[in-house]
Amino acid sequence: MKDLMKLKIQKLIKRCRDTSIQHIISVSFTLISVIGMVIVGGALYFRFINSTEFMVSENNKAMLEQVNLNLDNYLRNMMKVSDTTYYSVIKKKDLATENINKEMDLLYETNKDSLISISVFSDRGEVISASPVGQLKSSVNPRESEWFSKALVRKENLHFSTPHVQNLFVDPSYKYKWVVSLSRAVELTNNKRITSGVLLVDINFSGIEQICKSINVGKSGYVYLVDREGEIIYHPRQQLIYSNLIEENNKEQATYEDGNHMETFQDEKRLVTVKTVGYTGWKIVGITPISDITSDYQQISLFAVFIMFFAVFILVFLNMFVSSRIANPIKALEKSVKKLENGVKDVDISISGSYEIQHLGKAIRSMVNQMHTLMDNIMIEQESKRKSELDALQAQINPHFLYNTLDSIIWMIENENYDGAIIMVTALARLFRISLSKGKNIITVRDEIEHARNYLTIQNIRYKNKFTYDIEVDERTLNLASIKLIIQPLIENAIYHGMEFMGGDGEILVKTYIKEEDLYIDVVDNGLGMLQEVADTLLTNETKIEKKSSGIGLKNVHERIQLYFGKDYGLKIYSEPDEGTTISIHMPCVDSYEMKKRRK
Amino acid sequence: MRRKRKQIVVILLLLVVLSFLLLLSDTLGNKKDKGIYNISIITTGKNSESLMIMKQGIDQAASEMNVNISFVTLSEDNNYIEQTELITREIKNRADAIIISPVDYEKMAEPIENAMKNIPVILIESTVKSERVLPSISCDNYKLGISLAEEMVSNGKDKSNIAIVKNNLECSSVKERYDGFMSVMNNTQNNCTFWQISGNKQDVYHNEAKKLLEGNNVDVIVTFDSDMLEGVAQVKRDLGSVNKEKSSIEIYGTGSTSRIISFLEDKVINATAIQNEFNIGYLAVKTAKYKINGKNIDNSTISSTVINTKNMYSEENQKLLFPFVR
Repeated sequence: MKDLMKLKIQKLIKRCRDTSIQHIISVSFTLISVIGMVIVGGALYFRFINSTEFMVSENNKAMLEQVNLNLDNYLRNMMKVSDTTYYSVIKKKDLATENINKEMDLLYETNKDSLISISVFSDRGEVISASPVGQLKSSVNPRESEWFSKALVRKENLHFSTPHVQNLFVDPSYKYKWVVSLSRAVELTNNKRITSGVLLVDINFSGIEQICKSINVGKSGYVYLVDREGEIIYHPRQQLIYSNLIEENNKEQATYEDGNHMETFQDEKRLVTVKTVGYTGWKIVGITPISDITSDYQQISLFAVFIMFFAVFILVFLNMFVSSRIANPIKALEKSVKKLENGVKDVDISISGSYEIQHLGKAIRSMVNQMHTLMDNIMIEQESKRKSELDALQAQINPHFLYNTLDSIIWMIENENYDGAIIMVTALARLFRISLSKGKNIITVRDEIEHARNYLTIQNIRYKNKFTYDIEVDERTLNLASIKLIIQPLIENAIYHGMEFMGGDGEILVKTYIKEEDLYIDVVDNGLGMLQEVADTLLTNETKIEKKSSGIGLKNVHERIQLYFGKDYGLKIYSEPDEGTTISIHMPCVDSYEMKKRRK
Repeated sequence: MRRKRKQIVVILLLLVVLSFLLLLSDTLGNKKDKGIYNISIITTGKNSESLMIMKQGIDQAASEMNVNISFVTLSEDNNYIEQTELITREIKNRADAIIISPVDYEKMAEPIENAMKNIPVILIESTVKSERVLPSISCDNYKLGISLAEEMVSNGKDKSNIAIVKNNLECSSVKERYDGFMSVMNNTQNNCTFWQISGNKQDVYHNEAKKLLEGNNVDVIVTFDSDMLEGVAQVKRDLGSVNKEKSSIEIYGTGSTSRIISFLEDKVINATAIQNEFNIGYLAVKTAKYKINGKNIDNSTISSTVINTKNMYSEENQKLLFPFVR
């Protein structure tokens, strides 16, 4: 198993090594960017979640602080009303002689929005003064009320009740208002005698409600108010709680310390922020369901994923583009180099892409060009070397031939055959003159024929007329260019192979003519001949140069012609055993004058 | 190679488009969930004061559940023809659901069943005669009748002359209360007489009640709907100032308008049986919303209590009787 893994990894690495540069660039860039993206996205996301929770709880705190401030302000205001009523009105007057209604009315009027009533009761529960003026309901006994007894028990303190319906006074419009009673024990001066009583300020509950209602903590979060014992004073869904339609964890929350708490209530996790209101001991409780905070997470995470997707997509595109921009020129360069390797000539080395690659391309291109010129030069040099070698060969005259000829001349002179000797010497002289031809390689057909004629003359004498020869010349061919010393080897060949063993009736015909605008020079003999198959091999096979001949073989001639005029030209051998052989020289028709000019 | 690359590009593009669509559908889907529904509420009469507390429950539910409420009252009390017309009108007005307090047990059955073919209909307080189980929100009216009777008996009225106002018995809630009440009465030695107070206009009806009250010697008057209770109590108070004897008549009834409460406080009315109207309103809207969304909710029963002068300011009853001023 382990080995298999290793093998696979190795394979993968190998594949990675073998892949193209574009692949490597785009894949690795994409991989890196995706990883980076995921890391950054994830980090941001978690950071966001953390900070959101922190922010929500901080925000809740601040909100509650605000509520607290407002509420405190409001309650303080109410307490001030109570204080004013007590210290500036009740304490200063003797109720037996003076009426406090006017002052009470004034105080009520100025705080009408937040008050329902201000009233003073004696310790027996009788109304001493009330504003607005009202008739106590017959069924009501204030002494049974909580606010009355509590105020008397805790003498120095102001007492805030839980919200209840104000039912003290007759209201002709049958309105029953919810109030929070602020009550305190007061000392009443009655005929200079001090008795105790209760001052009641009924605070309009809607004022408190307004303060808590306007606060918004989260989507479905809310703020509510409990008293010391956990009784709800205000709750946005108060009526529902009273009707047992929903429940609130108020009893437990009332015991919480100020600050943020997490609790699970009715299977719902929620953030509870508690703040105690000064003096009253009330607690403001802010509730934010955690699902409120987390409900955004899903959307945000979705959004984040989408953004990541989008970014990755764009990055992949970008990477593809960039990598192709980098890799394509290199690939093109590599392609042309590969072509070069395969020996394709005239490869156009592509030059594109960035500066470095362009430079590379240029360098390779100049290198290739240099290589081509070098190769051409080498070829030219080689060719010229060969030519010079051939020329040197051609310049060689078989010494055997010279010796034989000179021997013949000597022999003639000895026999006093001076005419023959003269002819012989003249022919030899001409032969040499033409064969030298001032070192030129190209001569006219006329000279070439002359050379052949002289050669034939000499050989004819030497072979004591063993053969006859004839030269047929087309007048048009005489001034055409020919390569020097190409007919002589053919004649030599004809004499040695065709005539030598024949008994006196050998015939050699040299013929020049133009066919299809090409120059032909045929050397025809009626000698032994050979099989056509053998004849065909003569020009291709490396045949041994016979010592007897002038040393310039047929193949040599053939190659020389091809070297000068191209592969289309050269020798053709037609032969038949016992019939004879025709060797045909094929050359283009080039005027020797023009040839000279061209060479210049 | 090129083809492969093209494929990759196409796949990536598709992914991006897909994720974008997902994002869109997610946000759109959320919005759809928060669609606002129109719910119409059709009452039994023209007096909306008796519905104050219920209306609060409705408003609370409406604000919590993002519902538009249109409150439709009849121009005449207990007019089943008008109520039928209103159902049709509200359906035409593209209400998503109707909450109705049917005026007639039998006559409203057909129109409501017809309406239910189009949109959800929630019955409150009363029901109609139907073979189907209709969504209805109400207290156990029979039990409420019994409680009221027991309250009366416990006040020592077991050998008295009792006048029972039999108006609106075609309304199922009234009928059930009556039946409940009578089931207790049949076990006592009370002498029951039945009154039918006719007339629709306030003063005609007032005079009628006055005549009945003056002309008969009864110890107790019992009514089963709040308008009637208010009327009778008013008559008693008016007479009481002239005729001391009449002020000893005890009145029992149902309902919790602020006038009834003040009569109760003044001991004109001895006891009133009330149901948790806030819950009726709240649950009616909640049920309607559930029905619109095709979900089912159990028919809930609402609690009911008998309130008398002594317990009216108890902490529990205070919350039940007096709506918060909002």
